Amino acid sequence: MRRFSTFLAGAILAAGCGSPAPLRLGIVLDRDGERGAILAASDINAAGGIRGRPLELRILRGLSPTSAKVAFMAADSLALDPTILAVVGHTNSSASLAGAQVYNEHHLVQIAPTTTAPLYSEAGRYSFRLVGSDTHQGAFLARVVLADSVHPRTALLYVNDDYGRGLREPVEANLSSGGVTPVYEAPYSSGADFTDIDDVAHAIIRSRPELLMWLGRAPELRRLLPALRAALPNLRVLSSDGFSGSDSPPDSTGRMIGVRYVRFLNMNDPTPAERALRDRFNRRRQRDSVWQGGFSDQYVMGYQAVHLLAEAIRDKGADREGIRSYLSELGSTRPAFPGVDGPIRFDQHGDPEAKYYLDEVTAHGSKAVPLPFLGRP
Amino acid sequence: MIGVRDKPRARSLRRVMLLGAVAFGLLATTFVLAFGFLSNSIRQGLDDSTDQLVREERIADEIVSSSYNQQVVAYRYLERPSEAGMDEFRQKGQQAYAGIRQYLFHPMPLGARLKVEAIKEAHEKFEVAAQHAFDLLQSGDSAAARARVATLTAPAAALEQAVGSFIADREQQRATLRVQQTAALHRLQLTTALVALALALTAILMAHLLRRRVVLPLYDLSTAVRQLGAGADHVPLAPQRYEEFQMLADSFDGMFESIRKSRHQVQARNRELTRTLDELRRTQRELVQREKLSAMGEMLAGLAHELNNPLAGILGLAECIKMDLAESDDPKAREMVAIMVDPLVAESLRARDLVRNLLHFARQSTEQAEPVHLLGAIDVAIGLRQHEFSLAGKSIEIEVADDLYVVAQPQKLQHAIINIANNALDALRDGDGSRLKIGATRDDAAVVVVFEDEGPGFRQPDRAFDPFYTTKSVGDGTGLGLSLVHRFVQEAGGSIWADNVPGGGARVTMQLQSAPHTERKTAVG
Repeated sequence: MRRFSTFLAGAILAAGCGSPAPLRLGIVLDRDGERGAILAASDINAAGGIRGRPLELRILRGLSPTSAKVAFMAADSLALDPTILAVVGHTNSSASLAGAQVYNEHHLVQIAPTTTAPLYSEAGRYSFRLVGSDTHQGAFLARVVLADSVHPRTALLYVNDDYGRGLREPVEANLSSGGVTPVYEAPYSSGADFTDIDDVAHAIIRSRPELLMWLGRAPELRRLLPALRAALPNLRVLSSDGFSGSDSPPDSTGRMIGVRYVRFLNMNDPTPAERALRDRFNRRRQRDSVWQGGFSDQYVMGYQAVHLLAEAIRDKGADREGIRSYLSELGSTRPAFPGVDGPIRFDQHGDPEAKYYLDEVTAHGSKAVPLPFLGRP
Repeated sequence: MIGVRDKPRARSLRRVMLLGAVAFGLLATTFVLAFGFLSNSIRQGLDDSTDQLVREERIADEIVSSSYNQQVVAYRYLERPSEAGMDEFRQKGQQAYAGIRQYLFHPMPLGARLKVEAIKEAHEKFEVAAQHAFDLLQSGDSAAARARVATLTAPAAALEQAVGSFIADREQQRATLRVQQTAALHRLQLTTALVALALALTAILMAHLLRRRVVLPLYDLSTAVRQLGAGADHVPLAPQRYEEFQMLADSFDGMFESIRKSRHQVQARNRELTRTLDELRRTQRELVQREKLSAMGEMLAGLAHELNNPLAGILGLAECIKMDLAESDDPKAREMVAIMVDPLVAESLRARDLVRNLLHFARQSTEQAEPVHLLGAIDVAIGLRQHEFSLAGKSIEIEVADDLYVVAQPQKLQHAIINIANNALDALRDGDGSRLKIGATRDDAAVVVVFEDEGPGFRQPDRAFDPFYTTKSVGDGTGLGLSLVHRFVQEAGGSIWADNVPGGGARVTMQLQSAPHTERKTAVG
């Protein structure tokens, strides 16, 4: 079974005969992240490329949200391609962690834009990401819960993989330190293995929670939420960042309205670059009916990850080790990179500064939720 | 002798041996270090792989143990639900997950990573399945809970199978690694053997070079010394490769040359001494001869004076008797003349000649020596004897250059030549030979005149010049001829000696002082 459907982004460059050899990046992202990467490459090539050479993306499409097993294969394929200078991917924490093992073995820089698993900090010198570790997100989510004067009865459901388990620990620890013990806590299996929906719903309902903390992704929540809403109409839902992935189709039924979830972008007060990028996104969506969904974190992170790598190549040349060196120097021996949502710099683990915001699903999309500790966990 | 300019530039043996020793030492050290490094590397590799497998198996044991314990806790919880049981279940799950996470950044091949992921997924499914059973139990639906418990065995078995598969895979990889390392060890052993062989060959080569470049040159030098000791005049020494040997060869060469010169000097001095000794002996003989002749001369002079007067009276009376008898008419008287008086007169004359010769022998010459044309003197003397030689059927061969002059008394020189010729003629008459050969050559300040006949030779060459020594029949010779010749030569300041020609015949060699070329004088008396 070959699930790899590899193609080169033709829109990146019309590479004619005799034109300089392209510089290539590997892309293993979800739909939104891939769109952001393609847009960034298009911008770069329109501006003359990198040192006169076009930037080319080798996109492994449809592999990002899959299991670690497939991620190994994808990473192996990219790492063994000597023309690939760096990789942007993967989206899923399990996949990113799996890929990180391969990339570090082959000394190939990996930027996993929206991977949040705490374990990723230990992945190696070649692994970077553009969002904070779930160690911080867990604290952020706990502070959101604890911000209520009366602590709600909280049920905690987490996806039983690297992402959910990695996030559960800091959430539970911070809730516990705030005096909150979940009235119900259980793992669930994602995707096709999420079969016992009624049993899970009944278990949650029996515990009569006021707040459901969802440390998982949107598709399973979408399947579970009608049963919960029917029995617990006042149930509030607070989700981790996994909810905002591009795997989430538009909520035409309205059953997700009111769900609050973590974002990495400040939709309430976007930066000029962020706003300009969102305008371009919206114009494109109006033009192209295929472009569905909202202006997601994945889109922005994919976009600025490619720009960041292009700058590294521009500075250090087509050298894998040079690119790693450039990224590790950001914010220390060289200025931070001006990202779309603010300066990008990395600590010694390849982690950026953690920034979290809260959005709420509305009938027309989403809106930012003001927080007393806005932007800081 | 070896010319220094032609010698190739020699190298320092000390430096070459030092370099050779250093090179060999470096080679051996490199080999030892490389061998140590490789063996250590292989051993380290084996240790590392063993340690890694031990760690992995320990982790796997932890996962399996935690999973099994989690299963036990789950089943126990389903029997007797309690909050502590739930906490324990989650704790065991965390332990299993922590074990799995230890594999995450462990160095291992892709296949092993996939198996770790399979373990993780199996564990995740087991936990979720157990949680659902717990939920059912909490809801009071015991039948559904029991049914759910029955389904737990599948994820548990999957988990166990995943862990087992991983361990089997790692053991297989370790077995492969062990095979590779064993092969590496064998390669190392082979390399060691090859390097040892190379070292042995290097040692043999060095020994060969040592023999060729050190031992053999030394042997050649010692051979040359032995040859020199055995009397060799020159022993060539090949150019040496090393400057130490070249210095030694140069020293030997210098020594050879010095010895050769010394030897030549000794030989020359030896020859000179021999010649001096010969001259001394000859001088001694001459002195003895001279003393002998001098004593004999004095005696003969007195004797001759005493004999001369009676002989004169006898001869006068004999001639008177002959005249009287010859004038007699008596035939018997005349017959008496023929039979008795004539022999008496003849013998008296012969006695008178003998006395005269004795007087000649005893008398010191007063004639002045002067340059004499040698060939002229020989022609005059031989002209007087040519007729006698012809009558006897003998010949005289003269090979004398016309430009030779000697210092001598002309009359005595001719007389000496006649005496030698007479002596030779008498000898030729006794034998089968027919020729007297006279030759002369110039030798520095002297002229050497050689008389060689083909007669029987001297019986005693040393006594040839003794007075009255003769081997002729009584009455055929007085034994004074060669003695007179000897005296003449001595008076002329020359020397004379007698020996025999190796092929037969007598040889008389006369050495006279060479005279400057002057107006030619005829040696006619």
